[in-house]
Amino acid sequence: MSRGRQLLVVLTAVVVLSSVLNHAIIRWLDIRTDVIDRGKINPETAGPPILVTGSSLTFFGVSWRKISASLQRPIVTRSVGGASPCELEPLLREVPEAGRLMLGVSIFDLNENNLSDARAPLVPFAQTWNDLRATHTDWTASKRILWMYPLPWLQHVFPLAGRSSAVMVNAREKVRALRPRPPAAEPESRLAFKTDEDSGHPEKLSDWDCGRVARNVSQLAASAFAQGRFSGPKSQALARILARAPRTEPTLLLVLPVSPPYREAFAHPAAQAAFEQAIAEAQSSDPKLRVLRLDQHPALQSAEVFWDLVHLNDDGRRIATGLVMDHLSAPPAR
Amino acid sequence: MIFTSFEFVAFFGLVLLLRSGMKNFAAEKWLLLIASWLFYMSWNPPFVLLLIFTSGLDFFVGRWLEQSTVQRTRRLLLIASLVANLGILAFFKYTNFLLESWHGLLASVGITFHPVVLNILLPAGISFFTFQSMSYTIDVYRREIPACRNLRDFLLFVAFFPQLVAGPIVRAADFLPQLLQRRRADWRDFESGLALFALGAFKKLVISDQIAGHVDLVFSQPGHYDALSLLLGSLGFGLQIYCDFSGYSDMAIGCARMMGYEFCLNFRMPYSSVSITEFWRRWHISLSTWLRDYLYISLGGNRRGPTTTQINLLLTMLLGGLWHGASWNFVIWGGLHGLALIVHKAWRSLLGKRAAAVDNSRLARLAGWMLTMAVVLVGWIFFRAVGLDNATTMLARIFTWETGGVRLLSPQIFLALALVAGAHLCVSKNGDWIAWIVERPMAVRVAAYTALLMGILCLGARESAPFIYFQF
Repeated sequence: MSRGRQLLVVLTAVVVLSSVLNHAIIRWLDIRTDVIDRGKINPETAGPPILVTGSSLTFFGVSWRKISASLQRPIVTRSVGGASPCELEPLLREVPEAGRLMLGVSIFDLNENNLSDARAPLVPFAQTWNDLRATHTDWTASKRILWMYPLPWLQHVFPLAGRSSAVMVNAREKVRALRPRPPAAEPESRLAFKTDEDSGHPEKLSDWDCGRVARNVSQLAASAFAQGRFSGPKSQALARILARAPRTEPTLLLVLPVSPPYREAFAHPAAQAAFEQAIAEAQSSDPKLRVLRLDQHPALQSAEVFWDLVHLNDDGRRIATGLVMDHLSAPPAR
Repeated sequence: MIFTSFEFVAFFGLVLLLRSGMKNFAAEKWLLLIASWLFYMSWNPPFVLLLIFTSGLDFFVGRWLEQSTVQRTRRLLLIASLVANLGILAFFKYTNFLLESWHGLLASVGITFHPVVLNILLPAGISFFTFQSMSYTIDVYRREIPACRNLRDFLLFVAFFPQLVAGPIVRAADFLPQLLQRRRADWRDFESGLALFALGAFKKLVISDQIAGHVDLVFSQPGHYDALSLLLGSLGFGLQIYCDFSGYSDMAIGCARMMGYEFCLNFRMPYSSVSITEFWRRWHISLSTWLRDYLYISLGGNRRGPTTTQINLLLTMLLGGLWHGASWNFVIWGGLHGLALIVHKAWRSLLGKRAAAVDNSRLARLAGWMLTMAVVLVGWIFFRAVGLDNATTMLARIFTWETGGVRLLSPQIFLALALVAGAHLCVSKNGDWIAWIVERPMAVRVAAYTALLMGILCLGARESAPFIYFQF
């Protein structure tokens, strides 16, 4: 066989074999490839449903079952891990019957440098391109976003591409499961959540040793979080979501807290000011918008109420849920 | 545009495709030149003019040098070229360092003022292309090579995109002849280039990028961590810089080979060296040979007695350190290696005829390896630390085995250590793994390449950081 043909055979075999192994590993490690979590809470109750959407922070932070029960209203949920308004915007069109919108945001997921893996599969390329142009996003940041688009194509053949973190976390869990003793609670392990369930996360960030906190901060720092930017495609998408939200009842913008180590590392004064500006702009775009600043509540400022750097734990959720219920039952401020 | 990005893969694929359809050799070289300039412009577009200026200048100086027979004129031409090249390098790289050092010096004698800090952007790869261009002028001056007669070829020699931003520092004598006739990689070379590129990507994405976070953390605040964490951090940096830089070199050599061009080898299992002299024969070979041929030998080399040889060695390494960056840390790093080389040379001459016997002793080789690695590791601390204070804090805490402070152990460091140690132990020190693998039966090659690809997919970093040597 000629050398050229040999290479063709070798490369074809490598691609096929790797693809098969990729699919096998992704199944064996139980790595989620569907990015959207859709749920319904109390669908049997009367009235138009409330649409709750946000990243995992929104669903770790608030018990929407309790909110639904207290309001006696059905809740429809849409979420994507690490999502921002960009990825959530297309999902809102799936629930045209919603009577009210509750949207969770935070300084973590509104940071334009924090890119969700779901952007390319969910947001059309043209939309991203137009947003980048409209917001005059610099070329380096634009390139970083635009070059996310080939990945979903590659993932058809090699589903593990771009998912090395999930591989390592899930492999560690598999190994742990093989041990005879019960696995220790590891808050940094698999970030699993269901939007229509209250899964338990009792662990506290305050119990982490300093090394572990530092390691997690460094992992985020490596993704350019340090330079917090809050003006770009995400703020554009947020404005569009608020403009298109159901008008029958006021939209609730829930600003979720992040942990003290995260604030220390990334919410430096300039970033915080830019974030406040983004929230203020959202607020001014819709006079009826109700904003609940959970991130400013004194009870949610301690590492005791966090499960990791950005997610609230069970204690935090209890407090935050109470605050949301109080807010919803209170008459709107005049 | 870094080698491990989709952007580069698309760019390189397009270049290969366009080149394969070209019938005209001159047009093919224009394509490579324009592609190289576009590649460079992806970092900072205006700096391409600087690249064209320095290479254009050296092209014309080279022509003049060849034609001139008057030694004085030739010497003046060489000096003009060196002053221009080193002047540009000094302006972009060392202005603030020199201003700060001057301020520090005056402050030490009681004269204080507000130092001027200029906001100068460092052009990517300036140290590499300046050295490459300078080596050509010196070679022509020494009449070791003829001057290049084609401006396009010379511009391409300096700007050729695989080696433009971080080397290897290619010599004109090696590369310009490759531009004289049309070159196409045969399938064997193409496979070997592709495998080398994949190996480089593995080193970068799986090892270097995965341990970068841990290393950054430890070096940012060494006073916060205990001795074990600091030791692992410095060990981690040794692994990171090796995999980052040798990974880049592998990818550069691989890209060039896929197009039919050959670059010199830049790394040969440096961490298996049993002496510091051997280390420098295996680490960043294109720079160490450059320093030897154009600096050490120009200073007189070993021709003027042992004391001058030692001074030349130290001076070469100090300047080699400074080449890496404008900081006293790099000077100390170079000085440390220079001193180690002097000590090693002295030790060898002290051994005299017993040197061969010592070389064959396993115990002596082990001791030599341990000593070499200790010097290299201490050197890396100065190389990576931000400022002298951080470096001395780190060393003090390691040497006094400070147990107070945060313990930061990262599994990635251990994985990286296992992979690099495994490779150093399993592959022969002087062997060429890629050359060996492309000659194996198809089943072995499929298994090896699949393992490489699976490693990148399962363990590779999601987003690749810029290569460390881009900052030099």
